[in-house]
Amino acid sequence: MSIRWRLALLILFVTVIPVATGVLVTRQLVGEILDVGLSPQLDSALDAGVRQAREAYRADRRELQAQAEELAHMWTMDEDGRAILVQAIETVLKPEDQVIIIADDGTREVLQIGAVLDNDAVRAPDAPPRSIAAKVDLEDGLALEVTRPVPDSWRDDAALTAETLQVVRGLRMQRSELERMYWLPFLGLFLLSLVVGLVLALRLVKGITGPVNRLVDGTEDVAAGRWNVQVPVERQDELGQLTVGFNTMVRTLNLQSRRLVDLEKMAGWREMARALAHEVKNPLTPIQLTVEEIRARYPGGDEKYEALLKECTRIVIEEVESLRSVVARFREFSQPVALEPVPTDIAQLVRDVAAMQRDMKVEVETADNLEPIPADPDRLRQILMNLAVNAREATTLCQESRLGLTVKGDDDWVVVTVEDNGPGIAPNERERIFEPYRSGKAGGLGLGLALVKGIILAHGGTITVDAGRWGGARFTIRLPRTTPAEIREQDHAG
Amino acid sequence: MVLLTMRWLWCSTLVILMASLAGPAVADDAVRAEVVDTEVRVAADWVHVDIQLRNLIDMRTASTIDSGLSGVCVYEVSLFGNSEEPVGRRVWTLSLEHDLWEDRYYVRGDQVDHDLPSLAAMDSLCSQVDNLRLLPASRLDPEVEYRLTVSVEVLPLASVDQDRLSQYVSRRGGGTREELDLDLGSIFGRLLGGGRAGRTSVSYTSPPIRPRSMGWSP
Repeated sequence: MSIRWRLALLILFVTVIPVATGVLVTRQLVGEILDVGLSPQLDSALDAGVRQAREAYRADRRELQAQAEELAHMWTMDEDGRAILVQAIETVLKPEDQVIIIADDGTREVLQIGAVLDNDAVRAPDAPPRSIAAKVDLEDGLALEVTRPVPDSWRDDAALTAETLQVVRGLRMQRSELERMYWLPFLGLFLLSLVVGLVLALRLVKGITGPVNRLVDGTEDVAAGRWNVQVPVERQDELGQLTVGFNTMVRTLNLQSRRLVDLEKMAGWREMARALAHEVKNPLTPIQLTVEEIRARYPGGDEKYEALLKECTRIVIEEVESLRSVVARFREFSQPVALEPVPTDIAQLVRDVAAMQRDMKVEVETADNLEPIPADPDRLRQILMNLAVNAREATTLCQESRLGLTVKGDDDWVVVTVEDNGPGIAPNERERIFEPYRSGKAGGLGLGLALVKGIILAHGGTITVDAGRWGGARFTIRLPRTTPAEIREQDHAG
Repeated sequence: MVLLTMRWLWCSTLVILMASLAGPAVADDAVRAEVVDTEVRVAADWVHVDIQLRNLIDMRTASTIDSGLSGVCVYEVSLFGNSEEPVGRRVWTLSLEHDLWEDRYYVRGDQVDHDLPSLAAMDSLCSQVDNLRLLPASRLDPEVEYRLTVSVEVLPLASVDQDRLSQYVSRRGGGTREELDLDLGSIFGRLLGGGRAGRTSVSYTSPPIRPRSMGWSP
């Protein structure tokens, strides 16, 4: 399992634990609250309340029936009977009771009006009837009907009790669903937090492991020999600093690697130059002595031949001298570069070289406050002069010869560029132009740029060439701010 | 060590999830409704069915009906021949109600209105289906074996009362104030519960019946 997933799961786990605990506790609480709210004791109490209310209602009805029957006994068909009944109504019944005598044909005679019932009032669900009634048959097809309103407060209380009982019973029936209904939103929130937590954790971890993975890829590239790899710096935190450090390390390693390769090549070239100088130098003296002997021993007699002999021997001797000069330069090239490093203000050095150029338009740009670096100023001046001479020769055919010199610096390097407005160097020649015996000039030995590179390498630096801003050649010299002693010793040994 | 830790994390997470997802245990009634007897017979050129059930109104349904809430009893009786489509089918619903104040029990349905003195009488009435006219006997094939299927479902809460209770659940203080604009609980409850909690159901399929054994011959 990758670090990314491990970290994501760890973050998720830490996030989920409190949420899951909260959900479980909530579930427990919901269950307990429902147990209390829907307890059997509450159910029994409400049931008893409803039963008592019903018994009271039915007792009232029985009482009214008894009272109606009592009144019916007083009934006679004559006027006295009616008067007695009316009088009895006042003593037996309540003023709010309604008393009606109903005949067979539906005729109704109201003996007592009583309270007027508001039949339009909204009746609560399961409330008792608004009134109770009793009916007793009289003689001759008449009937006595007594209606007594049920007190509203009693009705409301009874209805509330009944309704509450129904709610408790109904919810007890659905207790499982009810618990799930209250608990499931929390479970939903839990799952939501799980998903959101996972997404956020993955994003957070990706922000950490992404740069690490890119660094791993970069390391693998370096291991595979791809030295020009650079990891994009996308953050300003420690990971960003790590990436910057990695890139700097790779660049430094790349430069050092190329430098080591150049040093090895340079050592080979020097050995070849030394051997060549040795092999060429040895026969030169015998050749010269022999030629001079030939010319000295000619007895004369043939003027034409003597003139030809003198001319030929002169040419041979001159060429021998020329070869001596070449051998001397080869010997010089074959010698290790001996530096005498002292703290050197490179910017000032460049300005001095620029001041010595007379036939060119020189542009100098130097960074301020560049600290002196350990370098051999004579050797560096020699290099810069050499490059300036090359620039002048390269721009001979130009309408105006231009020389650009810049000096900049960073934490590790001082970078000097020398560029001209000449024809430039073809890209496929740029790598090999520093090799010896490659000269673009007639009569040149091709040792100039090789010597330049040798001196730069001796300083622990590098030199490259590319196209400049004016289209000509631009040499870039990178000199380390501190020249490691071991590099110098190594160079000297080489 | 790292692998062990990760395994522990996974196991703990799974345990928590399973514990969270486990639903509450649902009580199971010890007494189950059942079809005791059925009879399919032909009389007056009609196929009649008699069904005797038992334990149709269980304790929970009785308790809700007793409190004044109304229950519902849904019957479905079908006679199948060789086809998957029934040759005869009857579906009807009875409403089970209790008048708290008069203490009377009512069984009401299409062309049915019974006034009963007790819950036991209501149970007895609902458990006995007599002389149900299922289909004309002429639609029977004497060579085919028929099967009688009976399905009865008793819902302790009618939809009206279910809605009333839902209002209590989704509102606070007896329906006077909204508890939540978005009632997540109600949504989830309806999704999972569907208001069918505590229902009693019974299904029965008879052995093959020949028309001859119904007392019918063409």
